[in-house]
Amino acid sequence: MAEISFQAITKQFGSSTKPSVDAVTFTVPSDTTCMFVGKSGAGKTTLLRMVNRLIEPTSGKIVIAGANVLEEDPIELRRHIGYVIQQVGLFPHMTVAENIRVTAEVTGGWKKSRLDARVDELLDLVGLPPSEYRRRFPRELSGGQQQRVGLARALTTDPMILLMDEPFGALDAITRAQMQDELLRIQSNVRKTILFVTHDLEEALKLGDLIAVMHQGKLEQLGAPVDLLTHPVNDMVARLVGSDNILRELQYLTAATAATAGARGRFAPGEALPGCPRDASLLSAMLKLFETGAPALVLESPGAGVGGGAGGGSGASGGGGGAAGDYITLASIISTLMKGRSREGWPESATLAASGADSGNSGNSGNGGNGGKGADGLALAKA
Amino acid sequence: MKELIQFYLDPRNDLWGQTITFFGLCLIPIAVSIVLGVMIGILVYRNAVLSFVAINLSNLIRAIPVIAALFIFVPIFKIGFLPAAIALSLLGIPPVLLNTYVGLRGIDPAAIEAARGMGMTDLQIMLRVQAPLVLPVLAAGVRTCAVQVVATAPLGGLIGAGGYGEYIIDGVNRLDTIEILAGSILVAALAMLFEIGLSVAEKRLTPAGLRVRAVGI
Ligand SMILES: Nc1ncnc2c1ncn2[C@@H]1O[C@H](COP(=O)(O)OP(=O)(O)O)[C@@H](O)[C@H]1O
Ligand SMILES: [Mg+2]
Repeated sequence: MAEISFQAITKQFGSSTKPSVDAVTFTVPSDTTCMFVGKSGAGKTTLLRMVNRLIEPTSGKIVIAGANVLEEDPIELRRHIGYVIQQVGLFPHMTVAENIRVTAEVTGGWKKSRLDARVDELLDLVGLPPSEYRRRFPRELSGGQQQRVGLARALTTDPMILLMDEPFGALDAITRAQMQDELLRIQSNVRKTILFVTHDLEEALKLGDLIAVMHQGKLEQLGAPVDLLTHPVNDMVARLVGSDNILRELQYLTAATAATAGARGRFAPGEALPGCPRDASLLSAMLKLFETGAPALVLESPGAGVGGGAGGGSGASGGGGGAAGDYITLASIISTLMKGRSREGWPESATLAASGADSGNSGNSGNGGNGGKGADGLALAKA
Repeated sequence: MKELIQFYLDPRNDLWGQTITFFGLCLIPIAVSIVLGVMIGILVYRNAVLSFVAINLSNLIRAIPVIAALFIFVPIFKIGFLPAAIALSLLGIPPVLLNTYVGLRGIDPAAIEAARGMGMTDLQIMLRVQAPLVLPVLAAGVRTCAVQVVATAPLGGLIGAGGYGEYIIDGVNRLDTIEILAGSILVAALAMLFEIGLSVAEKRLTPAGLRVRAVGI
């Protein structure tokens, strides 16, 4: 319902010689999460803030659900778009409950009793027990709790769109991972169109249905996380997403990407092979191969027996006969990893430079609980 | 003590009239200082150059000796109530202006950004976010301003502004200790009244959510 379409959107600040956002055109489908990634100064924040007109574009259009935002009243527009920023910006003189309700009070048209119920509902949603937190003041909350309230506040009027500018950027790694899981859970409940700025690639891969890679004001590539890992359009994107980073590929590519048919003849007839879900990560498939010592795993459709659309492979789950491409072996995993690596050979400096610091600490976070991202049609691994 | 009461009751000393004059001599400049100080503070706080000018001018005003300030307007407005009131207003502006400025600058910019992002109008931002956060700091400035004005107002007696200062000046001229005492007690009592009253107001105005450190000016 709330598709967001950027059409040659450009912003050049008065003081600068080149545009901060340069003729960017792309569309974010309704109810999806699109991550803006790129180096500092790439124009992510500027792009985001043009959506709710905190920054006025120099030229171009932003169309939300068919309406050009430049033709709307900015105040009204902002009241229908949730906005979450890294510094949170809770109002220190208001309680948690007041902070959450003020969004609706400003907009108007909410009954007091309905609003009270809404506040509790939202506190529950963001994982803060209302009876305990309703009356607290912001300075009595931890950073993570403050951002939970920030998120609740942005959701008060149930906007269809949520803009988030590095919302978890100031949190420690563990809290950040928790908040990411919470956001996945919340998003699976409420379904918003979310535009999310981050410079943490793991975060982008974990949360995004789509990732928009920005560089010097230009959109370099838009695609699903797997697309970016497997088909980066140029070296810049490849380095940024670390598509030559083996660990990352193992974590984020699904077992299905390494499916092979050719292995079948090599197994003893009737040999029972262990199974492996199609949407498991390559990493977990590889570990299972090591653990079990089996020559291959049988790919199981995740929705076997449930989802009607599971299609051809659903008969395979037992371990006997299966359709083509139903096995995964060490060899097939390695050949998947080697695909597209011919350009640079095995990664050396590039991997370290692009993802060393980042993936070093937050790599763990990818293994936290997974909220079940419900991103239909994406072959992203649920680690 | 008895002489003191006699002095106050003596109709020739016109206690009531002088009280009204003195209150006017204090309250009018205090009100003017608040209005101008807050207005200037709001106007300049977003602009580095204007802030610099306003703050340094304020400090300059504070450096002027009270007596000098009182006489500055005499050549223009002659003697009487008006030049004294204007001088007192001028003296009262700096604490209000500085505290308004400090209070506004002290608001977390992220809170303003969030307020704008959720669709508050400028007026809503002012009333719901800025005002509650600035008021306690502003109150501290008003308290300083009020006490300063009340303490200085008796000097208005020197240029014929009337009020309790007249008792003191007249008493000094005639070496009448009772008269000096009569004036001084009233001035001191009034200054203390303002100090206490405004301290209470300041505490009341501080939202429970924050313990604002009042800016001592
Ligand atoms: N208000 C502004 N005035 C002038 N230049 C700005 C302003 N805001 C951002 N810029 C410039 O625009 C570019 C993109 O900034 P930004 O969108 O904040 O980048 P990112 O969020 O990707 O780090 C930077 O070069 C920055 O200096
Ligand atoms: Mg930014």
